[in-house]
Amino acid sequence: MHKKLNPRETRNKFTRFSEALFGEPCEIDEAEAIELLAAAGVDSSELDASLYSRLASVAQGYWVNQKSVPPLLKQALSELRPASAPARNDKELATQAKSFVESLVETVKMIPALSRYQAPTFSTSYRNKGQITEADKCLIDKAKSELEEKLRKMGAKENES
Amino acid sequence: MQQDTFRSLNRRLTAFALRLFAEHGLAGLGTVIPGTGVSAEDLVGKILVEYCEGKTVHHPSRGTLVTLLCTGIRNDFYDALSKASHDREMVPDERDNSGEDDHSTAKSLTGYPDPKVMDPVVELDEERYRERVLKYFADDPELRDVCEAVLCLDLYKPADIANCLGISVNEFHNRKKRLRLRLIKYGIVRLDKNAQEVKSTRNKK
Repeated sequence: MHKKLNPRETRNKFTRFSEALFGEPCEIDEAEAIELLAAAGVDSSELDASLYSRLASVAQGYWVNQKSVPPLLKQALSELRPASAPARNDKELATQAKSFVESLVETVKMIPALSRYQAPTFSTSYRNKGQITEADKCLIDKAKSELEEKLRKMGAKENES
Repeated sequence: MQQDTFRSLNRRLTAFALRLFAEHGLAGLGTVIPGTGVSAEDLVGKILVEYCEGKTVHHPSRGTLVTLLCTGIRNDFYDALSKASHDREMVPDERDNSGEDDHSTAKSLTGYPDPKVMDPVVELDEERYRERVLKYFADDPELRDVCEAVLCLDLYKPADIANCLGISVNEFHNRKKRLRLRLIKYGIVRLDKNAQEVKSTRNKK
């Protein structure tokens, strides 16, 4: 027969069950946490924003009472500060501007058509085929050079416009 | 605080809190403990605020910061659960005798959980917990074996459980990961409420 447990013993028993079955708290690393949050339908960035606003309201209490904000609270606010928040000083403004320009450049780099026109190259494998006569090769070479000239003109026209 | 950023802490603690809620039949971020209004996000926010304000102090010699904060979350969670069951018992006795009419009295009672609709899994009952968990993971033999080793054979150490099941400790940890993911994804309560519906949803996936 089971002994009746007091509340503290009951909690301890549940903690043992929980940790043996689902692991100790430190077993959940950040990557797994993100996976678990996604499985639960939680947006991690919204979670950060929500914590930031909670901490900001706590910090507000310190400012109102003209007390110094605890260092860990300052650190947390600084780490969780949303990128879209308005800059508080010149340094932050410069950092925001730099990251904006960097992301813009990265985006542009991903579109090769915008960066430079590249002329097409032709395969010359037909030259190695045995059944083609010299006259045929001349004809194909002529057609190739005509096509290249046409494409070059088209490219130049596009660049001018 | 050398390794964990607050962003990382917030995510890890919230995942832990969601797991704790799901274990006791309360699935989802917005879910609250009946009668208390406490959600997983609230518990994480509270403990992080306490840590930031220096009310909870971490000594590296006593384990990791995550473990310390998760212990705080777990204690607060159990406190809220006991408060919820306490409130449930208190409701019928809290009659307002100040002369207000029946309508206003009824309105004030809406703040309390209705004992008829309150989820019965929100309580620390060992037998029911064991029954629920075994039933929930019954369709996956590998996960069910782990649950049986812990809940029926009272094995708690990874090496003992792995040895009993004839698997490596690494394999045991992999199964625990699967248990966590499935627990958070579906939540035990859904099986209790409507077993047929959940089983068919899971089969489709």
